[in-house]
Amino acid sequence: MYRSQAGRDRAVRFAGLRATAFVAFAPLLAILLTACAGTQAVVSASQHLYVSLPSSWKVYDESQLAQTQAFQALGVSAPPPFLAAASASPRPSAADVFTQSSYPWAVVLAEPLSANQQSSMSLLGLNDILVPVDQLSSEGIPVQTLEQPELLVNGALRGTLESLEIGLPSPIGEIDYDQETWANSATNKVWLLVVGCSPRCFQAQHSAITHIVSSFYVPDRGDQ
Amino acid sequence: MGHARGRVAAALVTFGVVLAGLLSGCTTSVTYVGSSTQDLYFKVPNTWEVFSQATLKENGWVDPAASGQAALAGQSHPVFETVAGANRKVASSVDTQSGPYPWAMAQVVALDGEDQANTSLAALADEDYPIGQLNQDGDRVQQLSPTRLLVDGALRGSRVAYQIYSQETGAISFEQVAFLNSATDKVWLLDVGCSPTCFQAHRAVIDKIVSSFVVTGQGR
Repeated sequence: MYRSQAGRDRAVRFAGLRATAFVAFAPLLAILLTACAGTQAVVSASQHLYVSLPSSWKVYDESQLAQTQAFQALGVSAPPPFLAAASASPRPSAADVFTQSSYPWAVVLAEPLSANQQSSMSLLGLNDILVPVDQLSSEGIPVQTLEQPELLVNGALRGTLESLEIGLPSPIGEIDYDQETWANSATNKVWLLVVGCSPRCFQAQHSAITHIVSSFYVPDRGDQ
Repeated sequence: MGHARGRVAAALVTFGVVLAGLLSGCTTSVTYVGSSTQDLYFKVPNTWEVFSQATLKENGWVDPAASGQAALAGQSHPVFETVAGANRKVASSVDTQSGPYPWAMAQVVALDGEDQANTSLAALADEDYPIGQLNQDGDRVQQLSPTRLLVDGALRGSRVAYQIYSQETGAISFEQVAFLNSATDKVWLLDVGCSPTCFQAHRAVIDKIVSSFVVTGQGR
């Protein structure tokens, strides 16, 4: 059920440096381009997260994402301490993100939890942070689990890895995505990465998507 | 010569008294209760009695057969239970939970997959007494202290005190401290309580026992 942390540690090695080193030296928000390695890192030192994306992907910040219709329907607090997204489209647009695009996209988020969320948050509830899957399902929106969910543990952090297909109304449409979510021991903060696209694209790009998800790194900082 | 012997004897007596005084200072006023294999302990006054598993089983405090069946069925089940009481009468029946003598009951519960997925900090309050259910059934539940969220390394938990009343149990006041591990597959909890009058009268002792609850080892 639990994924090996050793495997994850290998995944976060990037251009000869550990993610933790990036986190330590990066400014508050740094999008580091490393063309030689063919990858770019989305890092937030202040929010303690790291993810590696192909260098060809276009990265968008919070203000660019705020303009898109798709995001307005999602459960993102305003403003989250960290929100970024990226698109693999050759003609990228922030509006591609979280739609049934033929090219993969990614969303990365760090967000505090309210006192109510802190009290009621379960491992299952982590899946509803960005997309209220349970609620949508009860409203008749088709939701399908593509793979057995994984429970993740890294010291004081706990998390889940889900793979879902969800048929949302326009402008989002039918999308498949992998979502990895972590909560700290105090349960007052969550970190989340969603990578997806249309069902056909998701199948074709599954290996690349899995690679990106496995690069997602939130360091265990005890009970912080 | 006789004076010298007398001085030596007096010195030995003095030394003995001082040594006895020092040793009495080392005598512990508490009994440590817990399990090193289950990574928990708490302290009760040394005047309290820690009851044997046979006594607890005989009087319905624990049900190893039911726990074993739940384990076999892959359901949540206690893997460790212990009870201590301020009076031997506490052990005589679970009904003494609403009696005039304080008791302390510690449990370690292995959670099944469903509970692992659904357990939240709020749900810890329901671990021993079904507070939510009692509220729905119209039985009286009164929260005696605000819920405190606790974080200790990889452990998260809560501390809260309730007074519950049901026709089945009568009135019980208790304070509970409970911790969950990161994997959310194990709960460590301690309830300390007695009748509402007793609870008020022994609040300081009860508070001390609850505060002494420690989860060690893997959970941290």
